[in-house]
Amino acid sequence: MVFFKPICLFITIGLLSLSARSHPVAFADSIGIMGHHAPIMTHNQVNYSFKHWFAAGVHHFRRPNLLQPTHATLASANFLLKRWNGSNYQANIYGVIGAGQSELSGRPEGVGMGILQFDIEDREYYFLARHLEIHNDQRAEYRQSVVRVGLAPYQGRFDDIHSWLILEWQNNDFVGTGPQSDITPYLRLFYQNLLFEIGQSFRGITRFNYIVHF
Amino acid sequence: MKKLFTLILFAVPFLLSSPVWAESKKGSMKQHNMGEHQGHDHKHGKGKHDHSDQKASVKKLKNEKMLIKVNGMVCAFCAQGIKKQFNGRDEVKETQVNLDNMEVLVTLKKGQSLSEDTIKELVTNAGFSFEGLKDE
Repeated sequence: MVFFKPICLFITIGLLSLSARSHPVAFADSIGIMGHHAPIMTHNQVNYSFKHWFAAGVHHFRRPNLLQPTHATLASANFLLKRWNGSNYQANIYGVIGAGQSELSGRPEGVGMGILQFDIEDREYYFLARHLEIHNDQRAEYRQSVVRVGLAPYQGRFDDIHSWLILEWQNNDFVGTGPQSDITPYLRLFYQNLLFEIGQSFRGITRFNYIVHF
Repeated sequence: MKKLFTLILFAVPFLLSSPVWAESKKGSMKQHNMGEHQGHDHKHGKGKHDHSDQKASVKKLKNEKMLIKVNGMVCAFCAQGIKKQFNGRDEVKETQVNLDNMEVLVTLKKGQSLSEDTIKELVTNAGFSFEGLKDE
């Protein structure tokens, strides 16, 4: 019972605290570079936002922990489908469609990609849910589901260094291996247009993510 | 692959018809206080009210400093865009963002001005909603 309160507190903070402004569409005429790095999969992308609701992007996926690392490279069209700008919050729905070439299944082939994302945040709390699929003409080569919650331990001014505590549930489903889920606590820091976060999952997987906007 | 391309073929028109377009169109039609009242001054009979506040806001457009109320600006990382949008204008000397009050203080260069439509467009391009100009 001694540990009951701290555990409850940790879980509460974790559930309330996630963050990640990995928005596939940013402000008009901006370039966003994002990377999600883990031994089981890396995903790097570059997006150019023509409008605040539309961006074009290039994605590169890599499975580095295999004897023969595999890759996928896709081009995408990213859409802000709906945005709610409130007096103290913002919520978004994004849709991404893409096409390219992948060898994630072991042989090079044409694939399509779809991403659907919902996020909502105010200055203290954050929630994000995202699902990604890469399909060939017969089946899904890769599926990823992510749910994040975040909490800002303090509210800084615009030019301060900002930090978030994040808890992320991630499920990765590679063709032929089956789904693998884990939970990762992150520390996120950002300053002006540079953001990064680092965490280690409860299964021991170290993850590093970054976003830069120009 | 045929299925894939068929899917994309159907998905693109669907996405293009998404509500965000409708909203941005609606937003552009939405009249914000003083914008449509420039150049005239009138009083209504019943529910009588004058537009002195609006006139004051119109004047703000030519002032060296403008305080802009913005909705949705909850994150410093995302709000970088609003600074970039305004600082990208030749008329603007400096842009300061206040996240606590969701306000943007824009300082213009001497003798410069920005129309309300331009301000609205810059805020929208940054991904936020323009709520009007405030007295400092």
